[in-house]
Amino acid sequence: MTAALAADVLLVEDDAQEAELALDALRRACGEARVAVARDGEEALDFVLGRGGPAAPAAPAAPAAVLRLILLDLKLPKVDGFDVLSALKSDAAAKVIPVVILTASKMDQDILRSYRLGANGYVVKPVDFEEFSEAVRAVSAFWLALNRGV
Amino acid sequence: MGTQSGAGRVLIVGAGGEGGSELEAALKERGFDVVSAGSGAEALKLLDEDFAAVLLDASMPGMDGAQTAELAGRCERGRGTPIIFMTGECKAREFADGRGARCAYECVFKPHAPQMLSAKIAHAHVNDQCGRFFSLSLDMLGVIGFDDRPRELSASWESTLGCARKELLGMRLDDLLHPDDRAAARQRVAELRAAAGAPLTWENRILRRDGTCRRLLWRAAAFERDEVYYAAVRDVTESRDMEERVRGLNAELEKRVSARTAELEAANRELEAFAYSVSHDLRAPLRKIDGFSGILARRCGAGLDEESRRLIKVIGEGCSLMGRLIDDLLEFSRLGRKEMRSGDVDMTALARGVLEDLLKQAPGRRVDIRLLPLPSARGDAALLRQVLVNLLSNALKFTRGRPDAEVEIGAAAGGEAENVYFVKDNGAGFDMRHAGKLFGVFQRLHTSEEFEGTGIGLALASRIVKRHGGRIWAQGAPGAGATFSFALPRGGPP
Repeated sequence: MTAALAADVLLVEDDAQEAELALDALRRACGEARVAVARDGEEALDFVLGRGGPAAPAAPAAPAAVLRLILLDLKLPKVDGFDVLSALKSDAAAKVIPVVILTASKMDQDILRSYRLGANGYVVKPVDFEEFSEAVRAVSAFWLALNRGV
Repeated sequence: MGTQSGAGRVLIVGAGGEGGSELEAALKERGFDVVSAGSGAEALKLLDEDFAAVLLDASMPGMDGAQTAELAGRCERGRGTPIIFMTGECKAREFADGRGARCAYECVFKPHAPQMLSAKIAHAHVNDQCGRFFSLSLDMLGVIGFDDRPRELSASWESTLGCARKELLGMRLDDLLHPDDRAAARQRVAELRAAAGAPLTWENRILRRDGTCRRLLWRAAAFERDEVYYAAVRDVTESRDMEERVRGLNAELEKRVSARTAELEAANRELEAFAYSVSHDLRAPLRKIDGFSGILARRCGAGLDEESRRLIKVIGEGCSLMGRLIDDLLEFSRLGRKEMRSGDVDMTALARGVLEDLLKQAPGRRVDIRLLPLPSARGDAALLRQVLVNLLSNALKFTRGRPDAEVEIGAAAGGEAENVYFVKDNGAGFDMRHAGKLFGVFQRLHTSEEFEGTGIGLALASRIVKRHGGRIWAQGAPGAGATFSFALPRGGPP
């Protein structure tokens, strides 16, 4: 399980402490994943679509091609999460990377809009991280199964 | 007047000569009640009675016809009675030009055909009646010449125009009208003549002597042969003013309503923004408290003593409770804005589903549940489900301490207009003195050590029921259980 996700998570989160909590939960869910953190939407798109140098202080940057999971906050400075999502899902190479929305918003319209734009999961930022961990585990299991199949 | 005597009473004066008795007989034959007077003096005495007409010989000896007529016009009763002069052809012109014309209604020539004469009497009588109506009319009636001079005006003109009728008869209508309306009035008269007798309606303003202005509604028709038009005129100043005021008030009301609506919409948007920030921003620090205290606990791991672990657990519990409070509050505030979908709701099935869900969450609970058939409701199924969830989860929660827990869901007689549903339990109950507090936000009657909860559930249920146009109430006693009832209008939400 751990190996399957080894590289490569991009966490898009503007709040440093929120990012720290998410990283902690990620570690608990799938061990030592290599995680890149983007602090806003623009940075995230630059990183994934290779439109500029990555700025990922939390872990060594992984090439976009081998990203296994993107955790995306919706409320972001500059380019917001929805715009990032639609840019990712309309890019031929990036659209195969699973995107799980990780947000505080429970609003129905946000959830629907995310799925319509192609989100692969939607996790409301929890007070405990169980649901979050389950979502990450599910994505890892998917990759694991895919790798075995290949 | 003429009902008792057929065609009416006629006074024949001074026709004793040739043909006099034949005339009397002919009129009697035609249904007239005939009274004869030999002279003018005798006639004046008789005029105390009512007559449809007076037939007056113009050339009787002594007091002649014209004299008699003049005197008749002065006495109380005789004034209104039409006088028909009978005269020889040779004197007709002379008579018509002279004094007779002033008081005669009609002049007929001898010898008279009775048929013609009786027609003239009947006509005179009708005319007389019209004259009485003319003087009684509340509206202003007038015959006005195409030359703009009034020929005849009813009495009501005096009060409306604040000017004596005699004076008005000597004026031109143009002089009475508001200067701005004069050209239009002239145009109207031209149109009336073109309409050839068809009535036209218009409004204009006249100026009273005292300078005030009145609004008049005209309905008139031209009579080309006499070069006059007949007009019925109504003073509509007050009603137009009233309409104006009503229009003004309506406009103001509309303005106020739209201002208030805008305020409400703004308040709603603010509330939405507030709800979003509650959902998003208030939860963030909470998540950090919980998340980081969790990390702390794991980092220290075995190094923590039991008391420290308990303290961290208390922090975690506080965080989850606050998280639930935020969620409930958000749900509560959302409810006001949510659009309601109305449909038929099978309440029995709904209650069964809710019970199954709730019991799954409490495995091992032994509760004797009785679900009686419920009448279906009209309303929003999702919201009504929420009401049942809140009431039933309360019932399960507050019976937790009892080994013989019982919960009953049923319907009560609710009259024709509404259905009444109840949820009854034999749980902890409550003191009726606090019944009013039950449905308030964050109102709790038990400590959280006894029974957990955020104090939103019943407030939410109450709000949903009220949005459906219904009522909710509770009965209970400490230790003796509680019954929560709600009534929903059968026709659905208002």
